[in-house]
Amino acid sequence: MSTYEEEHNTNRAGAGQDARRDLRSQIHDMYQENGTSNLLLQLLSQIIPESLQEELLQDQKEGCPEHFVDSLPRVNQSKLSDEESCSICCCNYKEDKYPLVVELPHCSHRFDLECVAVWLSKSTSCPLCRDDVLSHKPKIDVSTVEVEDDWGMYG
Amino acid sequence: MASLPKRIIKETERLVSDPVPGITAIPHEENLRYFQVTVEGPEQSPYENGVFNLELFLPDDYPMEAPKVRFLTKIYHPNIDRLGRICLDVLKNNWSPALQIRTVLLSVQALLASPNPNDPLANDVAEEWLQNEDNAIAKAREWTNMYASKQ
Amino acid sequence: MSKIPRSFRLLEELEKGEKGMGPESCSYGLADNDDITMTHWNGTILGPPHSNHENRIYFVALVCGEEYPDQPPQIRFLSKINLPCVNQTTGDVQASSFNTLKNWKRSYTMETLLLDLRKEMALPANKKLPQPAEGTTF
Repeated sequence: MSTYEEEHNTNRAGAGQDARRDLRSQIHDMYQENGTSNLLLQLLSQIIPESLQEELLQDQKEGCPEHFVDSLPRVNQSKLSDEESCSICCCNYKEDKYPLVVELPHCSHRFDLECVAVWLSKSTSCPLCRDDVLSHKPKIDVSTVEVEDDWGMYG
Repeated sequence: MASLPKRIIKETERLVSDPVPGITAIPHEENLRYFQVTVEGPEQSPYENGVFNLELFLPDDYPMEAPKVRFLTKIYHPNIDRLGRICLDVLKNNWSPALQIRTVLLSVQALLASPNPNDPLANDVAEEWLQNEDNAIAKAREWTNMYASKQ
Repeated sequence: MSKIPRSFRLLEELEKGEKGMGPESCSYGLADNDDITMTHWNGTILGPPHSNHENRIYFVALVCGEEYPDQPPQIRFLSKINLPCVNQTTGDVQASSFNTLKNWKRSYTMETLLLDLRKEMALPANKKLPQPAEGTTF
């Protein structure tokens, strides 16, 4: 099973950190060598790491794509029991006249859409069982693949 | 102050009405997101008979973000540093919004029962723990008597 | 916005200082790593360019009291410096003549204070003030 990072080929946080370290040391060297006109370098050393920091912070927000959250199946009100509550806000679903409850793929854990959408915007794991919600891709129908593989039998 | 989310009110009520054995958590009157916490050292651990003071704060993004927790009582433990900071996965990368104040504090108590010197925060303590466990446990017991004894 | 308690605020500042995430023109850290109350801090300010402070490093001591960050820390220069807001016998930064201390806000940090002192050094009125010999202390 591959992680989100591997699939999307993003290890940008690490790359950003390296770039920042290199830049810092380059600036540091230039600063050491060039004692006379270092105003620009001082400014750079202040400005660049901070802007890179912002990029770094953005990179850490690795959640589910919006369309994934939008496409989560809704749970019909009739299927909700009276005691069922959302484990994120701790509120009973039926306290709301029109509850908007969704079910996660595979593990089928239920949450208020409003609650789980915030969580999934920065994470890909189910709050209750930590199942990676993005790892369940539509499966290829294995039975047909096997039949086709079996051509040798007849050969 | 902005109104307190319903979840925090519910959690606080339950901490009072149905407390976890060996753990107390009381919100400060002037800041209902800030809790004064005590955790009893688990039986059969070097922290047995100790009562440890901690502080816990629920940041604005709670429960999307983990509570912040810190020991106020000095403790000799490989995963707790000299400033009382705790190295515990559920407080960092393994946080989930389905966890609660009570589950977090239970995890802290469990950490006292099973120190993990292979993932240290206090390096000197972890080293002692790995090289001379008997000594380390004796020292943890000594610190418990010295700093965390029940009054 | 909820009010972050003193200790967690100071831990945030400590982590920022430890990881070197702040600007390079100042630094700060705990004076005593065992101090669970996190009261005493050390800081440095790199003198601003094009001033008599250029290439100098100034050492300061900060005290974050019980009321921090509702109240500002006390801050004192250890390195000798000639600045209008610094008491010339004790090195204390005087709140009455330093705006950041006088109009302190809860959102300000020790970093704010150090960077604003650096700006103070670079003010046209201050940047050419004669300075004591480098390395002398109050």
